[in-house]
Amino acid sequence: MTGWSGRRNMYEVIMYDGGIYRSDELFELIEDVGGVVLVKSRSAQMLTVTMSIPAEDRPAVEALCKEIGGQVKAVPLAGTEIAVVGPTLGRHHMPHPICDIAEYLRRCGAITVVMGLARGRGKLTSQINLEEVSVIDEYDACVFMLGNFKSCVEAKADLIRQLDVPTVLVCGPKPDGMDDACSAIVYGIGRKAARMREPADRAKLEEVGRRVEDVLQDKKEALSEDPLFVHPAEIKMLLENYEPLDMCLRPAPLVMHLDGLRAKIPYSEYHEAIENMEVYGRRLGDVCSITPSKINDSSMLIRIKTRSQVAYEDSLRAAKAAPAASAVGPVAEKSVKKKKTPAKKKKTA
Amino acid sequence: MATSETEVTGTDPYGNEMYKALYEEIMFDVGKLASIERSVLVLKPDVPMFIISVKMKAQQAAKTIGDIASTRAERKTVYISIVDETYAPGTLTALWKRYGRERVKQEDRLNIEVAGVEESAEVDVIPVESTEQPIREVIGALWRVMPEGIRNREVISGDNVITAVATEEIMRPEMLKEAQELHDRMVGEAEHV
Repeated sequence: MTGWSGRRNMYEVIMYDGGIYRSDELFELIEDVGGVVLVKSRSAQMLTVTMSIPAEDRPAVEALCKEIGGQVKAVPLAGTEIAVVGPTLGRHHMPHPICDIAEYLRRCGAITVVMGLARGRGKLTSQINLEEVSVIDEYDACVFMLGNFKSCVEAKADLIRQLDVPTVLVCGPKPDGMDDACSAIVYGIGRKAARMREPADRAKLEEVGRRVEDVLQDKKEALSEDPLFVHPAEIKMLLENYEPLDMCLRPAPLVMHLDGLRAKIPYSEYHEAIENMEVYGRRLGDVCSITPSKINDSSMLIRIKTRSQVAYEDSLRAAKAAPAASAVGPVAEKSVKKKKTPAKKKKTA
Repeated sequence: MATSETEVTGTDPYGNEMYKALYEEIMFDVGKLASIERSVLVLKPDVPMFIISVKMKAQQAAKTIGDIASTRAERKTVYISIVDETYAPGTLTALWKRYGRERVKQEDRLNIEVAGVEESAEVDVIPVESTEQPIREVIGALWRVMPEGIRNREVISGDNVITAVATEEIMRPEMLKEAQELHDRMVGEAEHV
């Protein structure tokens, strides 16, 4: 069995922030060193490129970035997709500080999605349904934003408890008895009617970023104990030239997760073609589980299996094939022997 | 920011402080903080029940075109130049209603001509909003302050005081009584002053 695990610590994610001038040289260098562009966004003459490159080539890439007049920034959350969830999409809950948190996480390199629950409002009546839980669980991590009253925050612990994905709770007061409901708590950010511009607010945003980084680090460590069969960046490289994704007009048609990718093309139309692609001499469908997104059918989730999972499935397949082979074997042998030595047929029988 | 006095009582010290800031921020946003003399917020998230009582500085007068625009008359035409843009749609509607669409010509968003009017004073006194409008704006701002899930709401208004009480499920008589008592106290203070 081949795979990526032996090289899993060799890639580093950095971001180029600069002009479009001579950026083609940067893209060529990334390709030459075997790196991959995770996110590229251009605004007028400015360009930001989040890239995953081999660690030993980082000095060369950094040198070129500086030479062409850009900056290199660390992006600790690159290659992740994070849901920032509020109780509702109403103006009471949504605009600030949820948008500020989402924006800050984007600056750290994550792809963020802001969402509100259908019936998340109220202390006594708030609820989360199974569909919402499934949608949030598709992401690498979730930042759940609650309000200013301690009793309300504690009453809404059940909303968070149902999520399987690592969750950072952001709320105003310090809640009691919520440690088991979420992976981390950042308190001091409640409901506000203004942007988080003050130095104290910025410090809180940085704290949210650090807590998200910590919970993702835990997830990364868990993954490194049983590494993925192939790195998501390699599947991204494989898929980004696939025509339906190449022609897709949605922003970021391929989004990397820690354990796979989200491909923003309809599952029903394209899943077979993607399953039949080849990576390290295997069908992609054998080393990944490809499922439609719970949001709708217009995107699909590609979850990469771990090496042990692939090995286990190989062993199952081998075990299944062995009795079949042993069952088929004597018959085949019989038929051969039948032609050559009819006398032995009787003996075998 | 605050030019009015805001008093907060409640069971959650952190929430009290944050809601005071939130209340003043929202009132400032809707441009009503300057016209509020005193506010009392009673916040009981454990119940849950929220009461906000607002005493306005003075009787809210209806705005007229003279308040929000500069006007001049010239050769039987009155030229209106709107200064406060928020009243532009209301001004046009009021002029159409009074003079008809044929006589009202809108040069651009903020400049309007009315044909066949001798004096600008005639146009100046046309109201562009009702006396109820400022009260409605304050009540709207109070709903923005209240938590979203607190949907069962009642308003008591009169004598320059607006009191809103809200709860999540059943509005019990004792809640209404508490709100009425606070309202009466605020009205009493107003009369005493």
